[in-house]
Amino acid sequence: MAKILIVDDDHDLIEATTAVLEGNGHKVLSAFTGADGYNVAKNEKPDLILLDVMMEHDSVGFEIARALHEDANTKGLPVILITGIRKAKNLPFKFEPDEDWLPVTVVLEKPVTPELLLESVNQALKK
Amino acid sequence: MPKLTIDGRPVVVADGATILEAARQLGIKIPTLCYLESIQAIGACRVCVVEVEGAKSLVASCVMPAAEGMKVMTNSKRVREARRTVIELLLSEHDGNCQTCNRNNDCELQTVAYELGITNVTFEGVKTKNDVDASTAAVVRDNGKCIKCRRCVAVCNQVQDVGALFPQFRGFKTVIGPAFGRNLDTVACVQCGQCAAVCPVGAIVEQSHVELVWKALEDKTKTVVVQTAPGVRAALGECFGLPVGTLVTGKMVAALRRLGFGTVFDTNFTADLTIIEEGMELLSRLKKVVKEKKPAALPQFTSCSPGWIKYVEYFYPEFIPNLSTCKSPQQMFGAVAKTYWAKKVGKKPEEIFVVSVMPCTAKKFEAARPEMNSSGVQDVDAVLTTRELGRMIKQAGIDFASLQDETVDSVLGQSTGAADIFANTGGVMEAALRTAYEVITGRELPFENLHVAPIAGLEGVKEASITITGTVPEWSFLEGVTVNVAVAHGLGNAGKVMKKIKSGEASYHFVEIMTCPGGCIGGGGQPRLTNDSVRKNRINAIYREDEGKKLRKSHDNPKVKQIYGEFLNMPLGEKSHHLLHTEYAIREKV
Repeated sequence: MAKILIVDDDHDLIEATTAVLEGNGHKVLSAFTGADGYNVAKNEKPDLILLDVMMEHDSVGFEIARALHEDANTKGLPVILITGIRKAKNLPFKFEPDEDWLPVTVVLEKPVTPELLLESVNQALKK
Repeated sequence: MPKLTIDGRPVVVADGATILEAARQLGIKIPTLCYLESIQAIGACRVCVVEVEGAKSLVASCVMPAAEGMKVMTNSKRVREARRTVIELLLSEHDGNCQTCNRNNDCELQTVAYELGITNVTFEGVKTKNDVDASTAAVVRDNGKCIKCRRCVAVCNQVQDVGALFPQFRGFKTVIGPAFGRNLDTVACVQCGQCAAVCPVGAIVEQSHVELVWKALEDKTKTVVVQTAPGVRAALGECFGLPVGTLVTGKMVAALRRLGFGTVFDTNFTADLTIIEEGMELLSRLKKVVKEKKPAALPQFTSCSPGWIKYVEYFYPEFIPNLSTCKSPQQMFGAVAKTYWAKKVGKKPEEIFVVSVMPCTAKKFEAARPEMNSSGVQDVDAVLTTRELGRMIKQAGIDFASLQDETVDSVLGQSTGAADIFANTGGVMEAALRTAYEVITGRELPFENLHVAPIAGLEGVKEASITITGTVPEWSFLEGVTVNVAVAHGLGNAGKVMKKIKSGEASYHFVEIMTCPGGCIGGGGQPRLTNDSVRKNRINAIYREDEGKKLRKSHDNPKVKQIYGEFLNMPLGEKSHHLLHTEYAIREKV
């Protein structure tokens, strides 16, 4: 069982994701903004963070991922980025983890099926 | 197929071949000055004279057709003396000092004089009037050095169809220049520098930024960064005697560091960025027309080549809305270097000095355009041609050929193969198709090795049609649509395409135009003299560079993803519009 923090401004999505994760024995924390998510992550030290990108502003998820990576207390904490940014911004590419600027374990594109979510969570927790 | 002898050696040549061509077939060198392969043969300078048995006078071999049974002597006493007289007469008028000339060691008159063994000019007389026109940002004309060979007139009128230069007056008083003695900045000159690329002497050269760059490198208050265009790496080696078509990417980076550039970036990075912006611009125009049934300016024209932009502004202003609003990779680089990168290194835009190395003279004009200051200051501060960089490397005493390869710096350095091929005709189109096709269908562009064969090569105007099938849901409105594209290089060929579009004879969605023959690899700032053989070798080098890259599609460039994620936010977004896109102006021809 792991302690997993979900940061997303979509309340319905948090509810659904929580149900899936709790159904698989995980403890779930949640935050609806990047700023809150950052504070919860620092205080609660979860085992894994599921992080949205477009919340208070369009790239807050990227910034939170970097801030957590740069903070000695949270560095190394696995982050799964779950985002709909490619479609929302008409990007001709998918974002990928990048040690220079996007220090996350994996980037998943919304909508994420429960199977892919659980598989990605299990993979990230093993690392 | 006439059979003739030259210096006693028999040769059979094609019908219509000249004596000069016949001699070259035999490996016999006849000096030339006004002759320009496949462009001009007018017998004006007379240095190519040869003796033909039975002919009363010597003949100019560049214009005299080879005939059956002809006996030609290229090295008789009479020929040698005539050639020396011709060159001595030219030198007697030529108001130049070889030691201080921009073209020292790269001057065909100097070379011919040396090869003919001229050690003294017998004739004394009036020099040609020294009249320097430095009115444009790109080139400087010095009529005192002009030998009236008319090569510049031929390329400006026949190849580029611009017509900024003409011969005026007669005999000794002949002046080559814009009509009515005007300066170049007052006529419809696109500043492509093809005149400078063919001038056999130092009468038309690039406006030098060498001293400006040395000064910046010495200035402790400036952070100097350099970008190099893709076409430079396939030609710079020629300045140091390396074979045409030698790729010198790594040596060039090493040389730039030794010159004192603290940070060496690559215009290729912003070429990839251009593809994202220009590709999405094209797709958004297609969406408007096909899906929303709204008007949008099609065909979309590429906008990387500043000579072409100026050509449209002068000659086809009604098509300005069709030009992609994307800045060229050079200018995108300047804008992001002085904003995105400046912020990363804690500098203000005015503390950064951006130097470009370009195969082009029009890039000097482009950098000076008033629109190109979206960082708050001029985005690109100095533009060196490939030739100027070659001279700086020599000035610094760097043994270029022995340099070990080095790699460019991050974050404005990484690029894909799609960026390399911006250097040659058909390349920008191919790079755009590699990305656009994949966006629309989710599949790789279905051409062998990603090369769109119908738009490659040196044919003046090339066309291709691609029918889109198997679209992803977001782009399903393009299912079954046939996209027509055209590619032209050299403004004369661009003019042909424009006439077809204007008359309704042709209908395209996307058109790539490069100002110079062959594209940037044949640019006005490249080592001279360029002909089709040189162009082919440079293009082959560029394709090798592309094919050697692990990533060959602009949308795969991780640093492009980074700049959108960290800074630009989205293609065609607010920040992109401010920094990466521009406007154009209607220009009066005179």
